[in-house]
Amino acid sequence: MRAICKYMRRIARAASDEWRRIFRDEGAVLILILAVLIYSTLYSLGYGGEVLRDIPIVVVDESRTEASRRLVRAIDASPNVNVAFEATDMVEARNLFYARRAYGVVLIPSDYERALVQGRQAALAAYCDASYLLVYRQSLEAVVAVAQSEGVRVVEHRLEAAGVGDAPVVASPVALRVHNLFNPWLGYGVFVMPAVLILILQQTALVGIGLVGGTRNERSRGRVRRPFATLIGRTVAYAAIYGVLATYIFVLHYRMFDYPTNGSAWACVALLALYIVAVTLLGISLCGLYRRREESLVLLLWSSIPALLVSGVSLPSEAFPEWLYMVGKLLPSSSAVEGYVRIQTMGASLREVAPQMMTLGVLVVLYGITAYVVLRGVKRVKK
Amino acid sequence: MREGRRFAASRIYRMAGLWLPLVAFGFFVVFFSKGEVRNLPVAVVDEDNTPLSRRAVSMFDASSELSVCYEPQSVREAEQLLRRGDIYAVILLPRNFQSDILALRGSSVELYNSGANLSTNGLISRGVMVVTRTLSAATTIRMVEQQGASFGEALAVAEPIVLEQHALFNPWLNYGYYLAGCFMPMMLVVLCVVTTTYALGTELRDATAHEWLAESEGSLAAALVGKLGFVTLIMSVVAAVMLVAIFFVQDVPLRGSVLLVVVATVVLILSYEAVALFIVALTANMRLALSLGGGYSVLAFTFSGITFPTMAMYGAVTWLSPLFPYMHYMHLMIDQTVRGAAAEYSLHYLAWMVTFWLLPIVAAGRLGRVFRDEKYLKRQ
Repeated sequence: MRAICKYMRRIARAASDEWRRIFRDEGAVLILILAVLIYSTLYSLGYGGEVLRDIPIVVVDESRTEASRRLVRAIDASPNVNVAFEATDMVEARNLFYARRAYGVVLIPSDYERALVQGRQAALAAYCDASYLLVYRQSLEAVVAVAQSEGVRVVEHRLEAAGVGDAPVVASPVALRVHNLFNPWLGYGVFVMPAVLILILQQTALVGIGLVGGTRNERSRGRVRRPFATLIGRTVAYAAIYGVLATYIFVLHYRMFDYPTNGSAWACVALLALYIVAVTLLGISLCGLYRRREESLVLLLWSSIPALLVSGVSLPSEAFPEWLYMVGKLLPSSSAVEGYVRIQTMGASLREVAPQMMTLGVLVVLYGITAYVVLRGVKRVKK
Repeated sequence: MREGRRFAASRIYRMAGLWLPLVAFGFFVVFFSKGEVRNLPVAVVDEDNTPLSRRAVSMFDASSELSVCYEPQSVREAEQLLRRGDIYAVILLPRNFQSDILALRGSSVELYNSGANLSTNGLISRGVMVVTRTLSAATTIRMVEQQGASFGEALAVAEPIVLEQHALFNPWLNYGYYLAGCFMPMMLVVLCVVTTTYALGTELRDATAHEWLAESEGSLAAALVGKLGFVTLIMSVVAAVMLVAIFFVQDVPLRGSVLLVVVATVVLILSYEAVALFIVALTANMRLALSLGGGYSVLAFTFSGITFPTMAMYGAVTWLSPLFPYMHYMHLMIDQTVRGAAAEYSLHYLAWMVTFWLLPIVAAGRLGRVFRDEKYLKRQ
């Protein structure tokens, strides 16, 4: 019993030592704490508009008839696009386009109305800017939808004229009803921010822990007598800080920006706790690589985007080589992003994210061992 | 010369300036090596189970975007697959699908599409829309033909307005073109800021600034030209590798001016060196400069409007985006690569980037004090 108490005290001492180191070091406070607050706020503000509306487009109306006017009005009325210009020819439209004053061109040919009246097919042309994919998708979808609904109207007229009963049903016998789950307005922030927030925690923690560890290596006084107790103590120190930060981000920040909270709180806590411990242990392991304090910054700053990509968020895992996806699992963020999005955005239960929890568990053990080896290694060198 | 020796002697300097950017470019080349996204897993719940509904299922499976991996008995079961991450969407064909259509009552395909991932959402909704439209038009044509019309007449009736879709500049809608072309310059920018800050900051950290200035007979300007000239040289080599990776490995089309692309890339490097110099002057502290410079360079991606366009951002936030040279560079690159715009549409972006060179001039006085005054040396 006394041995346990003594051990606990040792752990507590290691933890409070580490806290003292962190809070006396402005650089570490800046990265570990302030950077988390600043990044989360700035990124959320950046994506705060959520949905793209009223993309400016140009219409070239060569038909100039009743039917073509109606089409232009219908396009303008669609929420995604806005007929900002009506050009007289394609040359003018192209200039507006290159000057980035418009992002799409719709060409209505001169025989548009005639074709419709004569019962032929009328051809429209839409030129949408695919160099920005979100702009492309939204503007094209809007034009397609308008063309289709106008088409259905025309069919109904024709069928009625031909004396076919039930014209609306014959015109469009199979309807498509789309239900967008979990993110009904398809907001960009709702899609990308949960992953970004998880990633911010990992990247700042790795750099911050490296900063403190690098300083220790620089002074080369970091004599570790009891690696195991020290390891637990340091893990507790960082995990406590990140526990508080995660609470802020996933409770207050989430409320502020209205991100979805469909999951059970306990499932989130369980996943995030495992995640934070895995990240902390990875951070302590990486300290073995640094000789000076700034090295973690230099070596890790660039890695955020690759880390986000291998988690399969911005592109699904089907889009890149599978072995890269598997290697990416070595980063705690990959499983945490997948698990967290599924719990909190899609409402999955802990059982439904069991593979992710399992991977995080394996990482905790793996990085626990490497961190222990690193701490013990320091001791050996000192002797 | 001195800078070359320092570069050869410092492990971190070599890493940041040369190896890390090459590793990063290699990563993106591998990441985007697969090209198009195909066959996203979906589940179909076929409550009807008739020849028509079976035909719809095989049409969904045949579509290049989709792959029907599961056919659960109920929507409930399908929801579980969705939450487990096995599929991205559920397609429901309701009971009486065939009989309702044949009896002219009309029916519908219900698509439950996950909005948790916008890229799968977009691809799946496009695939399902095309299949449904084809199915619908085929049915209409059959019905009209039964009333004695010819196929051509029936087609004109079924689809009176045809929309020719032109995806300008990127007709294959290739994600690799799109993303590799903006991620690689991002890496260049981040590591350029880090390397410049490191090269300048170590003179302060190790209190070697006097020695450094003595090499150039006390002239700070000459010393800076020497040091930044070397950094620019290294970064230009890295940038050359990047451009080769973008245009020859990723095969991004280069439809505009090659000269302008090369000039803009060098200007981009110089702009970020200027920003790094400014931050070093301001902070007089390498670590702080590294944190600030690093943070600043990473933020550029979000505010550049490449993935989420600036026109959808909050009003005040859009004012932030010109504050990053990266944003101007990307617009110029998009103009000169995929868009093939005439040079005059891109020149003002170049001008924007050049204005960042004014930053160190503004801070010139402070820069001199920082590197000459003992009190700033080895303050960390």
